[in-house]
Amino acid sequence: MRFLAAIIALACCVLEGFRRSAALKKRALFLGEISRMLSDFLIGIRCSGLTLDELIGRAEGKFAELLRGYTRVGEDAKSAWEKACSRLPQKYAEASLLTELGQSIGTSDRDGTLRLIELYAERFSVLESDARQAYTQKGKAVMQIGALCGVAAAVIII
Amino acid sequence: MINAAKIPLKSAVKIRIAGPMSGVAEIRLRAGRPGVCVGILGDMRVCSEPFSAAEIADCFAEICRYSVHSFQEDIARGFVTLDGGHRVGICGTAVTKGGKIEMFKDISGLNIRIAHEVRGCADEVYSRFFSGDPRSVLIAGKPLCGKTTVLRDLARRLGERHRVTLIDSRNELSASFHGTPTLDIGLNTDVLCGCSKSDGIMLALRTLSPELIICDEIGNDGSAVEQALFCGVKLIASAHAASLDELWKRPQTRGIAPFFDCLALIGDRGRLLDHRENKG
Repeated sequence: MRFLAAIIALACCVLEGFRRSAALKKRALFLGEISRMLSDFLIGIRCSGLTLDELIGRAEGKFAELLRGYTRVGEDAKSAWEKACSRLPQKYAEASLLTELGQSIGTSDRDGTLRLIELYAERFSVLESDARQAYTQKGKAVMQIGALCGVAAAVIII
Repeated sequence: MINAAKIPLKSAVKIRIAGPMSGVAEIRLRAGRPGVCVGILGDMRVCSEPFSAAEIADCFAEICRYSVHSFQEDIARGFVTLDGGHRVGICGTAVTKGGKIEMFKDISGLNIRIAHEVRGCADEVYSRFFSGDPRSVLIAGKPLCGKTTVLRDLARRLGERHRVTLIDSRNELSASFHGTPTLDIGLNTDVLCGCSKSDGIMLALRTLSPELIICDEIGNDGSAVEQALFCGVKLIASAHAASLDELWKRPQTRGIAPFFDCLALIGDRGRLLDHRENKG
């Protein structure tokens, strides 16, 4: 019985380590997608004068998918953006940054909108590099700590 | 009472119009004042509670599909066209650069002109001028008398028999959405959207080999009109004027009026009030 409990504790701790490491990786990837999406927005506005709807329609990544999920059911770009932001994990800075961007994007002329997107692209690029660094530094450590904790728990139980 | 559901705007929910939308020519929204509905016969009625400045700003953002940057040129010219061809005139404070209007800020009012497709409204003009070989006709009328509606119906009818190019600089005639006309403009009618009339006429002449070119509200486009009319192409255009004499005297039209085969004055619902043939 104790042996079984030890195995379960070990498995749980290892999985938790994996989960935390995957979360770090997922955040870094998500921020990378946002940076790319904003670069695409800049190109779309600069070269083709695309509307927010059209930019969303062409964008790639999970956030863009989330936005399209709302625009497909008839939401306008603004409310789709608001709703998509409310579904992001609120503990990270990207949720509030995206909300701020959504409130201001498309409200000024071409120069103003391009400058706004460039500003936010820079902010996201800083967040992305921090998140990548965090994953490189902590990703493996978190998994190892999870495994060690699991082993420790198993030993204590046995 | 009906909701102005024909207008593709969420902000239109506040507007209540008694009677059918077909009787509405314009809806005017102004900050701090109630909306006013203008009927096709010029009658005016209050149709909403007062709009706040923030509501007008929201409505403007929605009209621009939350993409002011994409409509900058249109806004600088004072209007944005909605899906369905409804033209929205903008009132506000002009932002100028080098003496030219670049944008409008502090939007204080919006004038939504409802596009109507009235089949048959051009029958009288058509049978008078186009029953035989097509001719160049300059159609005059007061604002809101239905010149654009008549031109659209002419395009529909002439497009069944001739190669027609429609210069739709404000996207009102064809109400194109993603390049596809949403109103019936005829089987054989090509549409040039968004370009100026003079550019559109020159483009059409070079590339689309039209028999007829149709454009709305012609003004200072004299050289392009001359080019078209001396190339064997017939031009149908409209201009603001309350009488044919006024058309002949207006600085914007007096230079081009002599080049047309006929001048026509229309009244409410496309009724032909007067016409004149230019000799030689």
